[in-house]
Amino acid sequence: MPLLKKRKRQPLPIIRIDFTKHLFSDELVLGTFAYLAAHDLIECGKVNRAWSRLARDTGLWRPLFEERFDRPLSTFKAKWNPMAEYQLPYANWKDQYRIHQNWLTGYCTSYRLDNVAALADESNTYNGHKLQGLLQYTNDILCICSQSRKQVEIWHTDKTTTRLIGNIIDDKLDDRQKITYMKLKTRECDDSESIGNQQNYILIIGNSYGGFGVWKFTTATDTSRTRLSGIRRTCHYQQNHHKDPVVAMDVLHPMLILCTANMKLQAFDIDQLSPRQIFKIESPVRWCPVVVHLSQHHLPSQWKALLCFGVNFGGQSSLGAQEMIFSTHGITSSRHSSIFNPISSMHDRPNRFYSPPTSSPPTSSPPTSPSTPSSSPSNHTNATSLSDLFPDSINNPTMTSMVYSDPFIMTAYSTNTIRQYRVKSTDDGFHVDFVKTLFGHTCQVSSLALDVDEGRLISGSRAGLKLWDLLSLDQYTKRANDYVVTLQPEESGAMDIPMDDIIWMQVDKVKIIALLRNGNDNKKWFKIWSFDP
Amino acid sequence: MSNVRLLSSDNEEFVVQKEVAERSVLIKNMLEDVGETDSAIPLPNVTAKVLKKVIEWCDHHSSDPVTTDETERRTTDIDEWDQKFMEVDQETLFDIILAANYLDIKPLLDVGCKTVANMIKGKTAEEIRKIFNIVNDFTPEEEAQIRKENEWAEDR
Repeated sequence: MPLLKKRKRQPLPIIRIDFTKHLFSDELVLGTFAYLAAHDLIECGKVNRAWSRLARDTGLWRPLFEERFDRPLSTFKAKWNPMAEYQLPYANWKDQYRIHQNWLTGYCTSYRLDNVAALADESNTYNGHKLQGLLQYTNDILCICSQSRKQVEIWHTDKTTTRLIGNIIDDKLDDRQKITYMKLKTRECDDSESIGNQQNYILIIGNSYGGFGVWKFTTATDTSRTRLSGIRRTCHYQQNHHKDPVVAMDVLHPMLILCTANMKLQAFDIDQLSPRQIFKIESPVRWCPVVVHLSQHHLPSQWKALLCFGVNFGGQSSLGAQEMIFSTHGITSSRHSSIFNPISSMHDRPNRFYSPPTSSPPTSSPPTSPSTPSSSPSNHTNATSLSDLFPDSINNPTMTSMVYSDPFIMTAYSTNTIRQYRVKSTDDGFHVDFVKTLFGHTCQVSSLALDVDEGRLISGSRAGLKLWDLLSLDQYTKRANDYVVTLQPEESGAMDIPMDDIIWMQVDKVKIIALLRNGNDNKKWFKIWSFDP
Repeated sequence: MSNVRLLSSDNEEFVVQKEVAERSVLIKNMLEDVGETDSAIPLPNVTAKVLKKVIEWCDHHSSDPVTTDETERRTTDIDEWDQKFMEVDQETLFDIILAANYLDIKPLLDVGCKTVANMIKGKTAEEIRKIFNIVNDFTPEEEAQIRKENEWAEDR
């Protein structure tokens, strides 16, 4: 309790007093500010230094954020994923409010990054598994696989610049072996060694012979400069026998899963320097693209591996998912579901000559699906022969990209559309269900990024990026074309034909980073958008 | 019904009904600790002028149910009688808030804070400075930084 300030009686009829100064305690001021809306707090923040400090208080912004963004987002998640546990990880709620608001309105700054000479050429990747795995971005760190495919450059990306801060040379690779897939994740530090401004990362690197290495490193930021330290390999696995490149991986300590081009799916315990294989299953069908995802199962000491797979063949496409629950001893359950030719292209193709039809839900037919990774105790029925499933009359568009973020799979197609599927996993069953088609692109959608936690979808094409708000999309029952905003990669006149296609893209909480390729000279360059301007 | 004697910082004595005085959690706890007493309770942080207002409020609200409803918290609606009650100069308003805080009269504190919040709502920074006679002490650099920090799209 501050003491009452002695004031002289003033003869003026109106007395004006700054109550924040020597009069109210901070607690009392904050109690008053708690009744203000975000735009009022922003004005308060511009009044003077004292007001600015008080109006920034994170305790004021958390309820504002929760009310405006989190409550609807939680409702949305509870609707689609009742099993999920959800917690808010933020430290600075004002920034969080501002950044989220910026995403929803497309308010950002951007810059271009040329001359990344080391960039790996994706043209010689295997079976069409594209460069998704040769570039990784999360939480300000961009990992780029070098042209030689033997080393990885580590770049730090901030609001205005991107700088090379180190690299990893995979000296365990022999002459024949090359890097084919990487995955970068942030990592909680298990002990107190981590101090402020430090961030720990784990990078897993898969190679063309089905082996992998696990690397860890730390970044520390002081006086606006970020340094890299403690690069070390904590695990290494060789499978020397024959060529079978890694095409998808995920890691959740101490578990790692990987999938190879020959559709071998393996899980490892990577707690030791030499990893221990937990299971290995194979599929006779060469899926492409594949995405693997690892999460903690709700039962203790159990993990959930999800394999999402798509395939294009003969103008058709199919999509499915397999869920494997496993412990350190092996698989305890496995279930799968797939959708063949989810909706006919008739309904999907934008047509300006008749009113757009509503897309019909898929003929959900998991039992008659193409084969999935078998030799596991799965509950699926026998696979039907592929020819039964291919009515010639249907011409399905080509799938160009696939992303997964619990509980949605999103796929992009050559017909300028995006489709949303939901993976529904309960004790009673496991299904992949078609949710809706998203319209709005005017070119082939070439890349996708999805963050269900934040309710964001980002899609890229030659005509630029589109930001979608999953929450407002959810209000459409059948079809949706409600992207929030389009970001152009380059300033261009209205009639200019865009030439640079967004061929790769990843996002973190604050930024989008995209790789663009010029259609004329194949020259590649990065573009970074920051929603924390 | 028993009465309680309250002594303001400027030594003015007020005799109030016990149930009115007990709107203040501070006084309620004091009475519980001390038990039956004839001596006046000294309130060294509250002047007679403010104490008079506070007692007026407590008297009007003496039969209000004690609410613990947190959802009410964020609305700035104030009932008519309270609005009228709070039509005082800034000095008195802030003194009432400080007294409510000291005496631990949560509903009065809330009404006071809401009244101040309503003075700020919808105003620009410059208007706020005028209302509360605040000097802008930002350096030009800080001002630019603050503007940048708060430069974002308006609520839709």
